Amino acid sequence: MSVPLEMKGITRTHGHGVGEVHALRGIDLTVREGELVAVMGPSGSGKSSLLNIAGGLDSPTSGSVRVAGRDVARLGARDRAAVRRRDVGFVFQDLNLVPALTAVENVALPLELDGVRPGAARADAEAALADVGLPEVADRFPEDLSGGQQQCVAIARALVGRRRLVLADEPTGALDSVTGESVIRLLRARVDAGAAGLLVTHDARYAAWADRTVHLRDGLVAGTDGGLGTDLDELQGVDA
Amino acid sequence: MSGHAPGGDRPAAGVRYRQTLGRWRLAFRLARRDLRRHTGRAVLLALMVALPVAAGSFLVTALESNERYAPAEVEAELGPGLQAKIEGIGGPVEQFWQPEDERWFWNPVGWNTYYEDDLVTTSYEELEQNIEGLLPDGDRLVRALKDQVRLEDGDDATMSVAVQTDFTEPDVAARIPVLEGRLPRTGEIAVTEHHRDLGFDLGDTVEVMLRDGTTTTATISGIAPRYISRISPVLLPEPGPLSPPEEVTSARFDFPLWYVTGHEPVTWSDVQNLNAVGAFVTSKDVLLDPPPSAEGSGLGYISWDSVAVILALIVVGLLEAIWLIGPAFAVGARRDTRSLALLAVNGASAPTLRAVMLARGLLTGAAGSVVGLGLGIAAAAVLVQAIPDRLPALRLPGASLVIVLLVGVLVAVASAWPPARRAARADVVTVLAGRRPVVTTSRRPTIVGAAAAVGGVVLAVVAGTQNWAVGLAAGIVIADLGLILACGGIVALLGRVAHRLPWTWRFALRDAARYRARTVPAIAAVLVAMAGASAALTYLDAEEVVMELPQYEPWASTGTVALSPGYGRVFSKDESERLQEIVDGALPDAGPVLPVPMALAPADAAGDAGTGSRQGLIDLFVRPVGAADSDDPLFADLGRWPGPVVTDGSDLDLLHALGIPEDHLDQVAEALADGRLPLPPSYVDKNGNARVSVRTVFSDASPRKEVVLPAVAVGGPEERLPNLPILPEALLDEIGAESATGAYLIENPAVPADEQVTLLQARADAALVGFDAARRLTVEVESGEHADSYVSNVMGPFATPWSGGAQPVMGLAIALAAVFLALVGTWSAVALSAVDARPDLATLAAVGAGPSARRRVVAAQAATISVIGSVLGLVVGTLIGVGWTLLTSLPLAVPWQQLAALAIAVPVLATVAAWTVTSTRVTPARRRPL
Repeated sequence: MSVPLEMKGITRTHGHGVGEVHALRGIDLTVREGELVAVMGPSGSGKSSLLNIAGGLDSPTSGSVRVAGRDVARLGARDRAAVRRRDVGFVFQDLNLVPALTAVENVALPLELDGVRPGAARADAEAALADVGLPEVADRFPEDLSGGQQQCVAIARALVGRRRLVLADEPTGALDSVTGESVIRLLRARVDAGAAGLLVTHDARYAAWADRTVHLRDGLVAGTDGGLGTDLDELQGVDA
Repeated sequence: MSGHAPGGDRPAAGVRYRQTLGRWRLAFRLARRDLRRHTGRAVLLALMVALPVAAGSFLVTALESNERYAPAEVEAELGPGLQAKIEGIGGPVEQFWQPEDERWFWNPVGWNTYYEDDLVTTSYEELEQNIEGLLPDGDRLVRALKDQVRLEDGDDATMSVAVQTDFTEPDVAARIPVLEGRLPRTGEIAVTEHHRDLGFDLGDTVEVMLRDGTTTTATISGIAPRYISRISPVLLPEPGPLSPPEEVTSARFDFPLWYVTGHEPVTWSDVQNLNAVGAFVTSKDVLLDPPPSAEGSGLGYISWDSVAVILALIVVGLLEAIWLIGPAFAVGARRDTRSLALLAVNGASAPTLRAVMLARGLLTGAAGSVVGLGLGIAAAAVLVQAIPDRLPALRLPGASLVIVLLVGVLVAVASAWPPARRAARADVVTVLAGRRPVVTTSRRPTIVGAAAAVGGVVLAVVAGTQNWAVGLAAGIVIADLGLILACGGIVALLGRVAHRLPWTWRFALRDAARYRARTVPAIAAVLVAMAGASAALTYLDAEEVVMELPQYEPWASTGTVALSPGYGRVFSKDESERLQEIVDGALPDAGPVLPVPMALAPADAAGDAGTGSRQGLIDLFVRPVGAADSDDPLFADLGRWPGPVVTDGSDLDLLHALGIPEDHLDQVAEALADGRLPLPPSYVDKNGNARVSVRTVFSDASPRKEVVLPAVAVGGPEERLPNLPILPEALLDEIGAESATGAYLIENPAVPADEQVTLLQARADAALVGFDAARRLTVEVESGEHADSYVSNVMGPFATPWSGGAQPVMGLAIALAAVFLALVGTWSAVALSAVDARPDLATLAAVGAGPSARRRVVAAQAATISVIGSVLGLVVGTLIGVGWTLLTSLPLAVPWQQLAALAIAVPVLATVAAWTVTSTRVTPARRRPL
């Protein structure tokens, strides 16, 4: 069974000459099934860049990114889109859902784009919504959902079908603390059920739900520590 | 789940199919929801599509509903009761509807109208029997015999077509409404208003002479309208003096006629059967409900030049629609950037993102087109109600309406394509971060566009000089597309140089540069409208100049009347005396009848007037001194005279009537008496000679002969004396010609009245031509300007007015249409930008910008779009107009004042209106992530 996410020697440089900015400088990171890894760091430390490269939204300047065993850094735009349909799900801070689609349609979106028949896609999406505890909101539009519900629907979409890797970029940033915690609890539960998660956050309370936390500074891993769900023995496996 | 390996493996065909299906299903679902969620924007877009579709569908529906023959016209042609009228041609024909002329015509089938050997002849009786046999059961034929007759009543005499038929048949009688009196009975005739103008009035007793010389006396019992089926006939009762011909030959002018009475309609199928036996049918049933298959089949010739120009106009028109609609899609796409990025995050590939935008265009286009179609048809229905005479019933042209609908949808999709392409290429990470996607400023489109614009204009102008319409059309399209391609670069450039301007202009120019997706189509819409208007105005101005130029060269002194026997013919004997009597009666103030001798080739000059006389025409022209052979030769006008005028100069009256000015009269007469050609100075060399080229027209055996003849310079360098070259009689031998009377001139102190000319022609025809309708005299009157020209044919005299004076109205209409389109383009873009600029304006207000700031910004935006579009459009349009003008060989004339007015009016109107309607209130707006 391949590792959901394996990043090795990732660098990302923006611009050139005097305007050159090194967003990431040789990052190694692996996220296994059943593992939630938090990434923390100040603004500009490279957190979002790391996440975007992990999901094939951006390409590294150098290094390899293996998602479910395939090096997405070497894939073309079309194939990277296919990886996002089948292997990786994103959750952002807010405005995660396509306003014109209902909750279940939002969740079914990657499946439909991948050619799954509408009935099957909807069934999978409803199952995913049930997994996040929101089967009743299936036919509601995003504007009819609370912020927390929207984030839960986004998590459901991130893990619909056979997707096993969630990339969450400040998923609680726009939520109050109670709702934020419920969202993180859900993410944790989905990871415990067999998924893998990479969580970018500013908030140590939420990072504490992760199995381990990677601290970034100036594009480098400044340190790694465990969280509430961390098995300390596993710290040996941290790539830094 | 998908049955394939993740990542780079190519999925199976079935999966690809399902992916494509899923992509479009999603695209349409999103588009549908988008239309519902953003009703205002969707309605605006749909309306923009609907308007051109409404115009198109209105046009095609109105045209379809426009009866070729409105019932009133059918009644004028056949009366209330006749089913048809039939003319016997003699050979099989195919009849067809000619839309340009709004008339039915026929073509021979299996025989030729051009060569006498190929003409066909049929027995009258046999033809009549054949026709009778093909009529629907219950219908009957009523003979109407036609021939030329001569009417005489004391001093008055005229030749006329006579129609002899049975007026006791109610349907036939009802077909000819008599204005005064009644239809003729035995011993009577009826005439038309035309005859009354010639002196034949109700109650007069007249002599009717037939072709064989038989004369009968009859009383005029009634006056019919001037024209009955385009002729002014004398009406004779049945039985009457005319007998049916033994044969019907296709060479005749007056084909035998029958009327069809009864209750059964003569259908198109009957008509085709009748055509096969040599009958041309005017059927009520077919007139009211013409078969589509009959249209235009008569002329198979297609002018590729016309097709190219029409295609160019259609392309430019569609581009205009696309540019007008485009900004609205662009703004919609930008507002949905975040949603599109989310789709990309969830695995939507670039084709999927494009599909989402295109589906939006497709749905909006379909909705707008359906609405437009409905509006167009409804408007046509209203028109049908308003003018039932012309549009008796609403008819829907199915195929044309479908095409209009599809074009509307295609225009919408094409308008959505640029934003769709941009959406598919947007950087997802940037968008998700809430930043504006980086606008790539490649110089290539600007360079390619500028090159294409210059190339297109050069092509259009060169094509104009080379008389190459396809090149002109291609040049128009290429220049148009090139400029539009370059627009983005121009806007970006202006954005960069805006830093020295006041802040409102800086804001407007940079806004235009930042949101090029919205600005460029709007500028393109203004540009295309202005280019079209300036090209049309330039061309129209050239046409108007032609009409206003003092280029009219009189061919005689004002008031002079010329009588000639038609193209290429001469009079067989001296008719001066007989004509003098007629002239004295018709033109009491006129001078003597002056025979005009013409130079003709000897073989035909002595022949009978007109018989084969085209062979006798002499084409004579004089070359200017020191110029190439093709440069401005002076030639005898064979269109008016059968040859160059020949005289010994002794008849000063003739020279005066020929329009030689008084101050040159003696000099010309002296030159002619000396055996020298009187010519303008540039045609006479220093030795007093002229290079003259002589050729017998239509004669292969007579090549062009170059001779040097003695000449005398007359008049100033810029002076054009009429009818030059006039040949001295003494030089006839030199060019191997003889003289014959080619025309008669009658000097009149003033331009004669129409009635006088009609009378003169009728009497002259009666006296000189007789029954040969093909040889009617041509009567021309020199009015000193472009005036009515009198022509004569079998239908009788009528006037064709000089069709000038429409240019100013057309020019104004074009200018107004251009201003309208330019303003719509500008304002729609400004309105859309106002939505985008709301947060910026709120920020400006927060930092202390006054209440008028919003107005100033909006006005500056309107000015930016309208000025750039107007200037570029006017420059390119004017150059294209120059090419167009050159193509049509008109003199170049640029309507600077009108173009300047447009250049000022559009930006001023756009700016002032934008300023006026803009609210000064600034609404606080949240900056939402992109």
